[in-house]
Amino acid sequence: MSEVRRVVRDGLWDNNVVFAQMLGMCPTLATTGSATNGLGMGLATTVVLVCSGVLVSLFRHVIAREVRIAIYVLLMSTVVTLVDMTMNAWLHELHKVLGLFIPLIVVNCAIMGRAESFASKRTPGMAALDGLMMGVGFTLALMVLGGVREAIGQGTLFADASMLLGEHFAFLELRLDSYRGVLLMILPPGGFLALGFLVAARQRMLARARARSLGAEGAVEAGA
Amino acid sequence: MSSNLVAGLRRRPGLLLGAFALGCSALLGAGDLATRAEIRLRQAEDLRHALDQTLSAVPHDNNPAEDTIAVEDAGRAVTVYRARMAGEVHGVAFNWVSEAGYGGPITLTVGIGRDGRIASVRVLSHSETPGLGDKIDVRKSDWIRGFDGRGLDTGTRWGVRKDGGEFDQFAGATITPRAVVAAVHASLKFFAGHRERLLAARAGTAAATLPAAAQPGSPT
Repeated sequence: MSEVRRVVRDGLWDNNVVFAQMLGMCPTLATTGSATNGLGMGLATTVVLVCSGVLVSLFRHVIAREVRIAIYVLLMSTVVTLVDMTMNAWLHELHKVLGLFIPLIVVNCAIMGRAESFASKRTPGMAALDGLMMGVGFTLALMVLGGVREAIGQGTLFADASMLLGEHFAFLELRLDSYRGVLLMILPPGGFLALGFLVAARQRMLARARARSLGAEGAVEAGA
Repeated sequence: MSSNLVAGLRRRPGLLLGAFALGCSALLGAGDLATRAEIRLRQAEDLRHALDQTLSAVPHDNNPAEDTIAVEDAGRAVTVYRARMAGEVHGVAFNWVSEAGYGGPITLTVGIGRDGRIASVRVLSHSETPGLGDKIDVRKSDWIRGFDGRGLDTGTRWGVRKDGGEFDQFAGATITPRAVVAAVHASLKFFAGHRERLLAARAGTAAATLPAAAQPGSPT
């Protein structure tokens, strides 16, 4: 498998930030009360992942081992603050919605994890691709988690999506009128519950795929 | 960057860290310079929008954003925007900050009519929990419209239901609506305490502040 495909697969599925690496749990559990919030947090995190990955990769030959963590923290918080200011100035409407999430990105250890384990060893191009794919994988995971919690918790899906994405996306908003909802799912315990069940479902899928591939090998041997 | 310099810095991690701190500070400074004016502009637009919303029920023919009066109340400096019709003040709007929010300060824009009743309240900014406390935002819920028409003389029980008041708390979030109810109540008291001065017919901007008598229950 080519390196690019490896990086794409890692980010989206094999090594997904939420479901496989179990990193960034704080923003994950805190902001997935709805699919829209998950999407918002994911998008903002993706931008920071790409920028910090490129920066760390560019300076990878300069950064001394002893102070690398401190320098990564410095670079990341700078990127987060710059993104915050830029959005406030030129994407003001989006900032009003996402503004809540941006400071939370600093506590996402997935960004530190990618800097340490990937960006510090690869070229800026690969680091950017890795940041993008990890970010997209993170966004998808947050949307699924938020969607599950929102659907069970209050019987809606993508509520207020038009506030985040603009009026054209109002069609995304679904609502079950007669459903009262299970509040627990919106509250923090619901985050843990939903995450646990989703991780279990993923593990089951992986186990089945493994069993199938073993079974297929067995059949080939038997036929030979 | 020359390779000598790079190698030198690598041997002196402290210096390297310092260099990065300097570079990052410079970047942030540049970012601040580049965005500051634009952010001010956006905030002015937000203010105009908030005033439009909170004073829409008050008849006026002036621009409230330019007809301001500064009032000091128990250590809190409040800029009051006045809506006039033919020179007479028909209502005022001002920002009122509550420090009792769950995720940080909540800034409300409160519009009050001549009669001392709420014309309209809107949340200008807040950091409440998305999905729970953010129902105070009119774009997410009509809850905040429940204050319209209420005043100190309307027999309203100012509090959330849990505390024996008549305003709904949200499922899973009581602190946020409690803070907003208390802030609206306090803003009405502020209006009552400065009523004569706020409704004075004199047009234009008055910058002088009167030392206001501290009122019981007013936030500091």
